[in-house]
Amino acid sequence: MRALLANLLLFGAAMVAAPYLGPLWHALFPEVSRPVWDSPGWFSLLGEHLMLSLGATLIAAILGLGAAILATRPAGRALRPLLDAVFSLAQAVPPVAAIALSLPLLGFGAAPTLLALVLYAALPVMRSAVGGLDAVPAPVLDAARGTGMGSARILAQVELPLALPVIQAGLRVALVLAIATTAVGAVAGARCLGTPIVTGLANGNPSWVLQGAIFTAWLALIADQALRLGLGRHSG
Amino acid sequence: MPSQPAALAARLPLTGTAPPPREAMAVATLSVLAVLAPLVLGVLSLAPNRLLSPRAAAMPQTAGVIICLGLFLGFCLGTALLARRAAWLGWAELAAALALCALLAGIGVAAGEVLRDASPAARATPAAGFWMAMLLLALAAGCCAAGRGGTPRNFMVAVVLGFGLLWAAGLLGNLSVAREASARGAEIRAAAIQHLGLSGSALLLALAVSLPLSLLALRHRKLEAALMGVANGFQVVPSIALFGLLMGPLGALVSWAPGLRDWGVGGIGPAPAVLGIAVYLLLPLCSAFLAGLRVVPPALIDAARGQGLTEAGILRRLRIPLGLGVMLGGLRVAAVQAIGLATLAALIGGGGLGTLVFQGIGQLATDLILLGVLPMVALSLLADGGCAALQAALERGP
Repeated sequence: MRALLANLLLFGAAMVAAPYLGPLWHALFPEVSRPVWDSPGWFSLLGEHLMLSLGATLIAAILGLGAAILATRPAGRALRPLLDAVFSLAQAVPPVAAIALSLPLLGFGAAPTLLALVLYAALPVMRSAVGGLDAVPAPVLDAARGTGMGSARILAQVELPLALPVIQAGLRVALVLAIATTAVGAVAGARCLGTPIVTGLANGNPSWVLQGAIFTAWLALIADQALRLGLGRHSG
Repeated sequence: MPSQPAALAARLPLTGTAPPPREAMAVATLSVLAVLAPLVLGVLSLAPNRLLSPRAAAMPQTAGVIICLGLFLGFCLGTALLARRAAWLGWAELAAALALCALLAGIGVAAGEVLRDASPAARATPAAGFWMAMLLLALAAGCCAAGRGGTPRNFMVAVVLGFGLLWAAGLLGNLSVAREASARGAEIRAAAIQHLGLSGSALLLALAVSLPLSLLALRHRKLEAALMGVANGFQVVPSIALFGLLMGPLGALVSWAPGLRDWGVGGIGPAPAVLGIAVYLLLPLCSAFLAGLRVVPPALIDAARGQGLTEAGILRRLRIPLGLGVMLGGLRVAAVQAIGLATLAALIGGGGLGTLVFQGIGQLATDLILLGVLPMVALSLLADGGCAALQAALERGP
C-alpha cells in the first residue's frame, strides 16, 4: 500500500514537473526545436484517459455481468457457445483493428475507442462472472430453494454474494486492461496519454513521444500494482 | 444408474431422436439475425465518388442478384437446421460459409448492375447490414465449432476457397474495396510480406531468448521468478508506449555506432518494432515452455534417473516429447499476438499492414482500413488454425 502511494505521489510530481524540465528534454533531443509537450496539459490528458477507461469499464461491467447472469440461468444455457465464439473471434482482432474498423462508422474522437474498450473489457468481466456463478455449489442452491426463495432472490442474496470475489477480480483485470488499451485510442483522435506519442510520431518529435510513452507506461504499471494489491488482499 | 427407458433409448439409437446440441439455439438465433441484418441495415451503398460518403442503394432486381440472395437465405436456414444434430455441426459450419459466400456474390453482382448506369467515378461499397451478416455468420460458425470442440476449420477453409473462386470469376471486381485492392495490389502484397517478416522475426527472436532461459529456469528457482517477473512486467506496458520508449535508446545506439544503420537498426523502422513485439511474446512462450517441461511427473523423472538416464537424455526423451503439446499451445498464442502487435509497427515506420490501416485512418478511407485489417485478421486466423492443426496432429500421433 505504501509503495503504491509513493508511486502515485511520484507520478503526480513528475506530471507537475514535466513542463518545467525544458533543459532536460533539450539536452536529450538537441535537434528538436520544441521538445516540451505543453498544448493540452498532462493532467487534462490524464483526466480524459481515466474518464475513458473508467467509463468503458463501467459499461463493460454492466454488459458483461448481464450476459454472464443470462448465460448461467437454465434458460440461457444456449448463450454459452456464443460467448465462446465471441472470445475466440476477439482474440484474432487486436484493439487497434477494432478501433480502425469502427472509425468510419463513428468518426474521429473518443467514440471508436470507447466502443473497442467496452468490447475488450467486457470479456474478462464476463469470463470471471460466468466462472464465479458456476462455482456456487449446487447444495447451497438446493438449500436456498428449499427455504422457499425465488430464483431472483437466490441470485441477489446467494449467488452474486458468493461469486463476488471472483467477479471483482475480473472487474479489476478489465480496468487495468482498459487503462492500458486507452492509449491506442490516440490514433483515432481520442485525447489521452497516448496523444503526445501519436502527435510526436506524426511531427517527427521524439521528445514528445518519449514523454507520452513514459507517462502511459507509468500509469499502466501503477494500475497493475494496485490490481495486485487488491487481488492479494482478497485471496490472502 | 440410468432409468429403464433411458437405457433402452441409448441401446436403440435409431428409434429415439437425439436432443439438439446446446449450440442449436445460439446458431439458430444467429442465422435468423444474419438474415434480418441485411434487410434492416441495407446491404449495398453507393457513393458518387471516392471522397463523398456513401448512401444506401436499393438492390437491383435482376436474376443473378435474386439467385444469390435466395441461396443466402437458403444456406442461413440450412445452418440453423443442420445445427440441430450434434453430428451435423460440421455441415452447419459449411452452410454458414456458403451463406457468407452467397451474400458476397450477391453484392458483387448487384454492384456491377448499379454501377452500369452510374458515372465512372461512382463507388459501390458494402453497407452495415452486410458486415453485420458476415460477423453473425462467423459467430454462428464459431458456435458450431465450439460444439465440436475445436476451431471453425470447415468454415475458414470454405470461406477462403469461396472467396478465391468469386474473386477469380471476377464477381467482386466492381466493389469499391476490390477496385482499391487492384489499384494497390503490389503495395498490399509488400505490406503483407513485411507484416509476416516483422511478426516472424519477432517470434524467432523471442524463441531464441525464451528457449534457453526456460531450460535454465527449470533448474534455478530464482531465475524463474526473475524471468516471469520481467515478462509479466513488460506485458503491462501498453505496446504503443513500449515502441515509443524503445525509439530513444535505439536512436542513441545508432548515433553512437553509425555502422549499425546498415543492419537496419535505428530508432525508427523495423528494429524497434521487432524488439518491442518480441518482448511481449516472452510471457506466453516462457510460461508455456516451463509448463510443458514440467508435464512429466517428478516420480517418472526419478525413475528415469534411477535407470541411468542423464539430464540431457531425460530432456530429450521425456520432457520435450511429452510436453510438446503444451509448448505448441504457447507458440500458438504467441504467433497470434505477434501478428496483431505488428499492426502498430507502422506507427514507428516499421511497415506492415498497419501502414494501410493508419493511412486509411488519416484519410478516413474505409477501403484502405479494410485492406489493412482483413489480411491481418486472415493471417492471424491462419496462424491460429495452423498451430491448432499441428497440435491435433501431435495428439493423434504416437
